[in-house]
Amino acid sequence: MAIVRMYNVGFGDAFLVTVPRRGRPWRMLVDCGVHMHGAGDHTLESIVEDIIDTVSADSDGPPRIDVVVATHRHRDHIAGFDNERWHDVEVGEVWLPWVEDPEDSDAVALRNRQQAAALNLHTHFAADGDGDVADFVLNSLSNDDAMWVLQNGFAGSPERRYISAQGAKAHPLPGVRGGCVYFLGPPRDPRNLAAMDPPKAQRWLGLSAAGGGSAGGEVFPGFTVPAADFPQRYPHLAVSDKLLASFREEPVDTLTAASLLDRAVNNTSVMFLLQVGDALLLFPGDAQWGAWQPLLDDVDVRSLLTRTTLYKISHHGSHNGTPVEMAHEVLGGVTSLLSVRPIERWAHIPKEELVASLVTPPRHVVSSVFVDGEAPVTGVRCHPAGLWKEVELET
Amino acid sequence: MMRAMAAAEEAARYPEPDRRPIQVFAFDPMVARLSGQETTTISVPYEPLRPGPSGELIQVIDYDSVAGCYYEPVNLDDPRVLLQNGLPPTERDPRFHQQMVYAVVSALLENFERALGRRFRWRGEKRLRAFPHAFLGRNALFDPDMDGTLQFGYFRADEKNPGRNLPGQTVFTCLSHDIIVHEATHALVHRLRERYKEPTNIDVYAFHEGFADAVALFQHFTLPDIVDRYIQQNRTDLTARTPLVDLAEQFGEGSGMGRALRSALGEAPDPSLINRTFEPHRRGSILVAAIFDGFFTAYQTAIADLLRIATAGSGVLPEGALHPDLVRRVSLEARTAAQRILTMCIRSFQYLPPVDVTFSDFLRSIVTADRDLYPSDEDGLRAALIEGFRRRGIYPSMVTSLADEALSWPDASDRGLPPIDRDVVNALVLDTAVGFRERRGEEEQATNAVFDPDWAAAKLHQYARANLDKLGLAGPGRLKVDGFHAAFRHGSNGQLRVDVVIRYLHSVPPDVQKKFGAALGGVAMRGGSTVVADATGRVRHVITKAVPTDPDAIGATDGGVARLRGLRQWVAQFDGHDLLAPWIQAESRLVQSLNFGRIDSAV
Repeated sequence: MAIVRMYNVGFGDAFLVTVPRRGRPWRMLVDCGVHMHGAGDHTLESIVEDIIDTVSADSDGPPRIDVVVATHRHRDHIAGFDNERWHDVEVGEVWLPWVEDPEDSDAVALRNRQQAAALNLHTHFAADGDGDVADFVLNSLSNDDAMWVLQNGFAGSPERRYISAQGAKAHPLPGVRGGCVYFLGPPRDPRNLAAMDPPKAQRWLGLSAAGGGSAGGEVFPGFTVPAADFPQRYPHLAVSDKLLASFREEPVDTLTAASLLDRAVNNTSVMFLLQVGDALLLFPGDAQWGAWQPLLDDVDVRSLLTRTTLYKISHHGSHNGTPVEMAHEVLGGVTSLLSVRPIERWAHIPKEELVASLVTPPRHVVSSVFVDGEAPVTGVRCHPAGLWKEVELET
Repeated sequence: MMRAMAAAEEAARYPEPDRRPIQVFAFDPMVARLSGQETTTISVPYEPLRPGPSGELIQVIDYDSVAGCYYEPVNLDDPRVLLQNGLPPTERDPRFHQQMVYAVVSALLENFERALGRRFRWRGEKRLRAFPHAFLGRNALFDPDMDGTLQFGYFRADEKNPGRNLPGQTVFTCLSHDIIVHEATHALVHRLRERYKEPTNIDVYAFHEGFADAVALFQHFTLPDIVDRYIQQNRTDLTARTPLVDLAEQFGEGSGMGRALRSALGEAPDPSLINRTFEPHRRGSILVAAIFDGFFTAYQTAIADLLRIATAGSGVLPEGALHPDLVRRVSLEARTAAQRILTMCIRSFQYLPPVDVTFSDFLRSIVTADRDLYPSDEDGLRAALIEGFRRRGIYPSMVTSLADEALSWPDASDRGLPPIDRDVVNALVLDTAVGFRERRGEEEQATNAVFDPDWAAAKLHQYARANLDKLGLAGPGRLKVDGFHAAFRHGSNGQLRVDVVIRYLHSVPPDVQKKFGAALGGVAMRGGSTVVADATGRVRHVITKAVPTDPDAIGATDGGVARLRGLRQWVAQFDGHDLLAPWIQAESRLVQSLNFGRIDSAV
């Protein structure tokens, strides 16, 4: 048997995977964080506390988690690690995407590019008073304290494993009988790296550095005609004020740059398929299209994916988190976990069509959010105060 | 009154000029500086102008939204300006900027008219309004929703990587020949096919972008002295990287890209690249590369004999400068081939469907239109173009081979259509004939119409209603006559060829549209037909895009159902790629994420 507990963090991810065995159960924590805009009904502290309390009850010794996975550096996936309590938790292994490897020069270069882009974009939006987009970008700015814990913290001197895609090759999972793991992402193949590249500076610098500092009338001194006089002097050239006002509208591309960066970081997600007996649990982090493509193109990986029994819906159910092909053709009768709190401004996360496809029987979707009067589902256990839901899987 | 008459009498003593020479930057100020003042004088059709310049089809209005003021409009009819072929090229005088925008757009319009075989008119007799300094930003755009305006931005060159510009210098997109042509071509394509602003398949916007780029590049080849120079410089090799085959160099370098914005050369031919390319500008670049592959091949073929003559049969050019006569002759061949291919591309519009264009439709329309005039393809231009498309993986759909006649749109004679109403055909032909008046001019605009367009539209609507099935317009929904005209052209045999073209637009009923609304991301489901007839009214070709007959029928297999399925697939695919999709309104997501608002791709 394997149990997956999905915490109701809000707009974010926190999953505790448990494989019961004689003595202390095997525990794996996949992500722990929430988005600035998506705080749930429970504080992140209370969730961290519950995780640690749960694993503390496993034995008389110090609390222990066998594997901690931080799929990627977005706040909605790691913010919870910025917490003193983790110092006392013993961890066996920490899995991080290869882009976090401090000794890999490619990784350092890529991370620096992403970080520089995030900082620049954030400064730009904050200066413009565009707070919403600034917060959006902030999600991409790394949380240094949380990253420090993941890279250097925890008790028990855990080994850090920097994960990259290894195709349909099984890797041992010590401590789990009949268990193994397939590492599916992030890709390291240079052909697929573009999906992780941050937006090129010139796309948006045009709006800030290059755009500012040119006050009116300075461009062509001596040639100006005041707006009020012009229609009188040249009536044949008169145009409506509405048209002139439209020139000042901000093009949509500030959001584009922010979305590009968001995707770039999402595509660094550790994607893995955990096998426990007959159960195959797919955790793709927030992978978006660029990261899925190589998997769907690989025949072996594709056939492996068709055997998935539990699917953590990527990127909180967004349009481009789960390729249509994946939902329609690859996945079979899976149970899907949807960790998201609907947010008004992002009305299309989760995407209706995707959810609709994943609830067609015999498939079903378990959502992290509690609805009053929610009918109980067999195989799903709920925390009495709505802190989490648990799915039990036959192995 | 008396004075006006006297002035008119006075003017009548001099013959009216045909052309107006105007000085412009051949490419942009940066290239001009690097090559030693590369400016040129282009000649555009004469029309009397008011300050702006404000003419019959184009009006330049220099409003700067940053400064909130206007700039003094240029008066090209002022004798002091006329004496020097317009103001000399300079970045400092906004009036020269206005002059350049007017000149480049006028030259482009003339090229389109020549290819289309009829006088060009904007919808509702409106004028194209261009704003040379509309806003601050690294962009220029055509805005179809704001009454079709061209808006050019200006910006400070990148501080860190300004290319061959001064860091922080002001770069004006309205001084880039290529950007002006690119944006104006968007406007022209929009005039010819309004519904191509609806992204109904992966190719529609790529077609818009690629076509605009191709036209901008081919316009380079209308400048004889410039072509001469680069032919001499690169010893007849046109595929060398020169401003001739690059697009918007100053813009690209000034934006910190370290190179021109785009290029005709493209990447090495790879037929599978097109399947992996979704972004409209990039996909459009594949189209451009395909067209230019064809052009380069045609050019090499055309100059082979000249090279042999010049080299006593060896075909290998000697060291040193080329003989100026050879350069002139080679340059002429280059310009002829460029003009011919550009004309082919523009003429394809006669056959393009009213909605939902694909690269395949474009290729088939080019071939059909060109075969009309040059049935035998003696100089091999068409073959070169087809091969260029094939090498870039642009394959025509629903054809049995890449042979000329297989690529042409099928003949409509077996559809059993009755001829089009004689009176309407006559009216359209007469209208086009009368349209060839001597010159343009604002006051000439209101000439007496030859016929009442509403009458013709009603007649043509009647014709369609009577022949729905045969015109491919069956199925529920509303039918509209989208446009009609006659076109005159000269064929290779010197004969005048007259075609009558009618476009029908077919919108699905609102309830069906609503039913699929979300799945289609705000894209309207439309069909339609382009009907081409000869001067007797006999229908020669019908190019259709069907609408679904019964969208509820599961097993339905008609063309419309297939199109609906294709549209849904495209929207799903688009969602997968579009970064903005999660963050914006679902009902209009496609329309919001795709528009002509950017000269450059964001990805």
